[in-house]
Amino acid sequence: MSDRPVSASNAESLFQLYRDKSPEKPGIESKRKTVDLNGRDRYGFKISASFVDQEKYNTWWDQYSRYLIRRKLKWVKLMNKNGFEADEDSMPTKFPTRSEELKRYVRKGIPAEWRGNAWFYFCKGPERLSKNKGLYDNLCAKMDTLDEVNLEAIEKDLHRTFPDNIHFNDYSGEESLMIGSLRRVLRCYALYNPEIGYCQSLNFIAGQLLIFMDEEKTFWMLVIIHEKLLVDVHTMNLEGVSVHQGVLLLCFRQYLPLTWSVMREHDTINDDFLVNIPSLGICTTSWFMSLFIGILPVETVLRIWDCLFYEDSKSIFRISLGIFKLMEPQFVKTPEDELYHLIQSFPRTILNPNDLLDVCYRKLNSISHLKQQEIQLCKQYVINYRAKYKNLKHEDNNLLSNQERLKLLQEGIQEFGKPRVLKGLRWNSRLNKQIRKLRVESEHDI
Amino acid sequence: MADLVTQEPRFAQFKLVLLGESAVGKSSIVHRFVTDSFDDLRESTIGAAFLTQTIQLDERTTIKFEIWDTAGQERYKSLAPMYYRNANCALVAYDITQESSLDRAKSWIQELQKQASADIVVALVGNKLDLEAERKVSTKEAKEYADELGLIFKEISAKTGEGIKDVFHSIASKLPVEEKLNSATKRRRNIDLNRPSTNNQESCSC
Ligand SMILES: Nc1nc2c(ncn2[C@@H]2O[C@H](COP(=O)(O)OP(=O)(O)OP(=O)(O)O)[C@@H](O)[C@H]2O)c(=O)[nH]1
Ligand SMILES: [Mg+2]
Repeated sequence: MSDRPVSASNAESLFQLYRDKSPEKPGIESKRKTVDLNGRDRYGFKISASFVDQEKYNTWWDQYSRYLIRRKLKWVKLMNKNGFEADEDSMPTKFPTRSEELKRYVRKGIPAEWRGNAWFYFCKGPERLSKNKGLYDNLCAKMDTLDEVNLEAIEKDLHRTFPDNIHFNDYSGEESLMIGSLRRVLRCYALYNPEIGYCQSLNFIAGQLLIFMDEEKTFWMLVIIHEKLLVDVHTMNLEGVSVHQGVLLLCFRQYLPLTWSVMREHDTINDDFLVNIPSLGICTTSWFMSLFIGILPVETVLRIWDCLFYEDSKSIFRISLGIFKLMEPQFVKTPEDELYHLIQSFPRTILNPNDLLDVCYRKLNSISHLKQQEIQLCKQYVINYRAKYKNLKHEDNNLLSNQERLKLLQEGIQEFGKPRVLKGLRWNSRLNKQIRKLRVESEHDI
Repeated sequence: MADLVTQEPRFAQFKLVLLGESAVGKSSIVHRFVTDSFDDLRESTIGAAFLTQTIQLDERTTIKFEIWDTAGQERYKSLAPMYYRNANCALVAYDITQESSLDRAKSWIQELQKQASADIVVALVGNKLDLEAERKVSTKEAKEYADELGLIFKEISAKTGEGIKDVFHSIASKLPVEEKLNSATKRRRNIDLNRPSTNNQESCSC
């Protein structure tokens, strides 16, 4: 065994306050208040850092914590119904098999104390861990051999990760246990996956995981997240980030035509928008890179993570669309030069996670029709398109000559005009229309 | 003297991008500029953050900066063109206690000269001037480089606030305010022409 210290994270003790609060027990009111009075939420984040004023936060929390208690009791019943022994105080490590019912429960929120285990379980973490026993410890043993560039980048970010959170910065002046765990996880992951190494934003993802599980599990979650949710997003050239932006833009066009039309009106969204991502598109870079940490209030991010880890990468897009859907009434009447500010500030006001999740998952909403297969095909389309463009691009110049542009468009038409490629997709008809338009234009040009 | 009487207030808006190696203090610089405060506990920037600040350039001229504060890690370079596209000015920062950060700044400046709009106003700033004792980059070296390329140059401290206002003022005074005003009024006029006003609707009953 390595001499890796016991993990700093311990969900059981972290959520002690919360665990005592069952409706039958007396004193629940006062206990709920203790959490608030410290000016911190139950995860140790400063509430004042959450961009809503304390009073508004308290009013919301008063309601929401009741909801959480109700949900917890339902989860206990669900577990029992499925033959798992569980009560309010237990920390289950296994959960029922996937089902429509379980999915509904997940979307309504996993109990906070169970989150670490549940996320890990739903991501098939236990299998990975048991197949790779000792791997993390081996990495830990040689983590100092990581290259200088990555070591330095990690060191720069350790103390800039949740400095407002009591577990990361206990104001003692000494390094907290959590920072130690974070350093090891980030170094080990960088060693394990040299194609990514260390990328800024991994500090926040790993940091938030560490609040809910130990560092070995956090390590495996990072591995799984990059296979399942954030393919190529954190690689050296960050190509995946641009691809995600492109896919999101196509999703806007299909699912939020109003928002899309406003964007087109304000921004120079030309036919190259998948390559030269328009300015409004770049506001969402961090949404993908940090899986919404720092973008939305903490409880809202956690509810999103419940869905992300139970489901697949389409959830990232559904959530992004959901945020824009909630923002749409304001978006359409905001002057151009204030749109960036709106995109940045609005998400922070989504204090009640249910507001967002309803938009994303309620059957009535078109966003809930967005399917994984659609995202997959859409991604491939964007990847191919960008690759083709790059091949044509001049070494030192971003601009294509007209001729090259035409060639690219024609190739695009050949490739993507074939109905079999995009058959059955919701954005098919629009795309066809667009392609038809391009075809007419290009014939004109010749 | 008639000039003084006819001088109307002017308002122009410019896009500024902040570039430089990670942890040189870009976010701290913007926060000093925008909120006049410094926080030791700052989170590292992911992607980029958007902020605005308005300054009074002279008695009749107000300038609004739309600021993109970018993430500094090397690999974010591939996203940078999205941020400096259409930028009117750039603030490229290095840390006077980190030799390598000046090299990074130089490579940003090179890239801007190649890729950004030709008339972009660029300022090179050495941050953390309060850490004079740990200085690794001499003022002379950086200033000579900046002079050679005709850049604004200043050593500053986000922590103490020294030099921050000056830099943004220097940038503002180099910006083509008059040009911007003209194009803005033109654009506004176009929009007005296209949009039927409520008054017109009433009078025009044809
Ligand atoms: N002593 C001193 N420290 C500073 C100054 N400016 C920033 N710092 C510190 O330097 C560290 C990095 O500052 P940031 O503003 O986060 O750096 P950044 O350039 O935005 O970094 P990225 O977001 O990673 O690109 C922080 O710990 C700051 O407290 C300064 O003027 N003096
Ligand atoms: Mg920053």
